Amino acid sequence: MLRDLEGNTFATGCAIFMDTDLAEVSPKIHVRIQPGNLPAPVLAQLDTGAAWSILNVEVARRIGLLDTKGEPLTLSTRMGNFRGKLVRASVSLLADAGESLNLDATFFVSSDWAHGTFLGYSGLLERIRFAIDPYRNLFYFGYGDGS
Amino acid sequence: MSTTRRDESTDALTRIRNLLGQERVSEARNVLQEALVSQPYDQDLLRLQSLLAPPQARTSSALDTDRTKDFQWLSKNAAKHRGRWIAIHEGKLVADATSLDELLERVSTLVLTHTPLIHFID
Repeated sequence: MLRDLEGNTFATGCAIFMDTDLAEVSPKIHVRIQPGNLPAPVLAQLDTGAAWSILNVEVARRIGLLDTKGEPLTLSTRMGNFRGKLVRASVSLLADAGESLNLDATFFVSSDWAHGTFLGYSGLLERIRFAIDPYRNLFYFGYGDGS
Repeated sequence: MSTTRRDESTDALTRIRNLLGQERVSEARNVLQEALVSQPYDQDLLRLQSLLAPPQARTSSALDTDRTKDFQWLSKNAAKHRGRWIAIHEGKLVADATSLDELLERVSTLVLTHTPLIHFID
């Protein structure tokens, strides 16, 4: 798929991403994920500037995360402060070519977060190698285990 | 657990939680690792260790279907469906609802060639 300067594998999967202005604010990169046992993929916004990944409340409830014991946390966002908790969740990062990634990652969930789903840095993107081809709207990704 | 150990654990937990509240995740992890050296069996610290661990991943040969048409539909029509859950299949809206549960119930009654893409238009 993609290799680094030393010839090692950099990315093992590739997916078309969407960068249309869905919320009429500014274009953002959306990739497809399938959280837990949800029967269909959903879009998640890539947000390297966010400390944590966030799941929409209805997605979190549907896959049983609101009832899971977690670490209480108040998250400060541009939508205000939200009380919730950090939980561990299974999520698949879906590829169109190559291989998808099944992740065990950390998410913030809150019964008040009725907004989008985000992929943030800590507990998720921090171990994902990724590259963006903005001309072809391609998102290349792989798991960086330090090797 | 002795009173001193319990105090140390409580102190570490307080520090970690304060750091997490400030999004200082790396520092929280450092405090956690230090605390685990002296209290390796503390259940609260061990629970935090698994929560704050970097993600684990394994590859899967399962691929998604081509969603190009679905993305095109979203580009043109998403703004008209603000606040709604929608399901798109082969570039067409096949269901919409005010809640995810309602949407999935509607989708389950449809005969589709593959799973639709679902999304909440914020």
